[in-house]
Amino acid sequence: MDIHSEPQTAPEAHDDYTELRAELARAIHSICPRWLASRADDLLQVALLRIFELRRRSEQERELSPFYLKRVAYSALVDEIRRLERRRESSLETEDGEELPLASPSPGPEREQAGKEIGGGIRDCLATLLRQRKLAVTLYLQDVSVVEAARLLGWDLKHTRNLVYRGLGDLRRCLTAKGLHP
Amino acid sequence: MKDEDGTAARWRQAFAGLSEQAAPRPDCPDPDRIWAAAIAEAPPAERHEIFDHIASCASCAAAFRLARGLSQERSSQQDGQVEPFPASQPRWRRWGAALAAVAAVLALAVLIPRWNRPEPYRGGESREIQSQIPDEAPLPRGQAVLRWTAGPPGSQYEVRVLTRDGREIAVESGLTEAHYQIPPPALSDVPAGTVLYWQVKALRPDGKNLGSKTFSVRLK
Repeated sequence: MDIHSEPQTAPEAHDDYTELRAELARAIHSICPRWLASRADDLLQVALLRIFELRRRSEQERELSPFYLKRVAYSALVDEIRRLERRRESSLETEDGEELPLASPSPGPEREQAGKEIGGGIRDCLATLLRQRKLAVTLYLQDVSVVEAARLLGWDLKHTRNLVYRGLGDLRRCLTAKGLHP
Repeated sequence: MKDEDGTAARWRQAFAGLSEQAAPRPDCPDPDRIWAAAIAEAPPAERHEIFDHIASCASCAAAFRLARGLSQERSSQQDGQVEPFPASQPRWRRWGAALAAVAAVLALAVLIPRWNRPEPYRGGESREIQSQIPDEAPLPRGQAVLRWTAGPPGSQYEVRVLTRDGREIAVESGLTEAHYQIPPPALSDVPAGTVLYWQVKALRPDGKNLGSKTFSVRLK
């Protein structure tokens, strides 16, 4: 039996853990859809448990960098969010039969509906763009700077900027044709 | 790329808002592949494939934003020319600034990116084990028994119990029954009302693992 009444980590490791925990909590808070907000704490625990287990398994083998642990936590988080999304899609209920709550305030029904329409329109219009423009505009819509998009896409900056510019023009025309006026 | 009338900000917000109704698809890439694309570790063709996917998948688009947020400090440290978080997501920007000090520490310990790195820890487990503890029922301190649905006959179980702040309360492996009592000494200094988080893993006779989600229960 392996029962611990005190944390088993060294002080430095505990500091790493505290920082990682705080960072993950902020990340979850930032991306969590409203319907998942009440589960943010559970999501955090899932990620941390994955890290604990990995650390325990590799104790005798190698030191794991904080960045690697963050990556492991990320995978656990996305897996768990996907699991909840699937469950929500299939039942729109919790395991206990209750309707999943919207834990944070809605922006208002009209604004929300307009956002949904534009969001859906953007998604549909992206599918019609030339592939290179689609990739560049997708990153732009993901808040990736043009400089960073060029790096991620492996293209030069001028070419990437041109693709974003033209792609945004295509997107605007497509949305307008759908009757959406962003 | 100027956005004087705020159109791009609204589009970004609307695009991100699709995650409210998102559902993963069968062709969604593994999270580790999204991470590798977000930090430009994956080869360009692989990155293009991921970006193509997130154009039409709100679930993976959100996962990509999460990967960017979590890895951002590292990228900034690496090339020194990445623009700060764009204005349409001020929360990320604040977050990035607050973590600048953490980034400095992390940068010292970052592994050199290797596409062919060791297999990431993914577990490969299905989640079929369910808690058998009644919801909302506090766990008696002197008889803190965790129960779960049993695996196939011959399964062995491993249980791990933690507090919210990550303190390990108990770990027990080699269990042959689908229940485990947390020894009272392990709970002696845990305040009443503390929420315990626990997970079970079952090693089946066929060698496959079954994992549980993380359950929580309040200590009486």
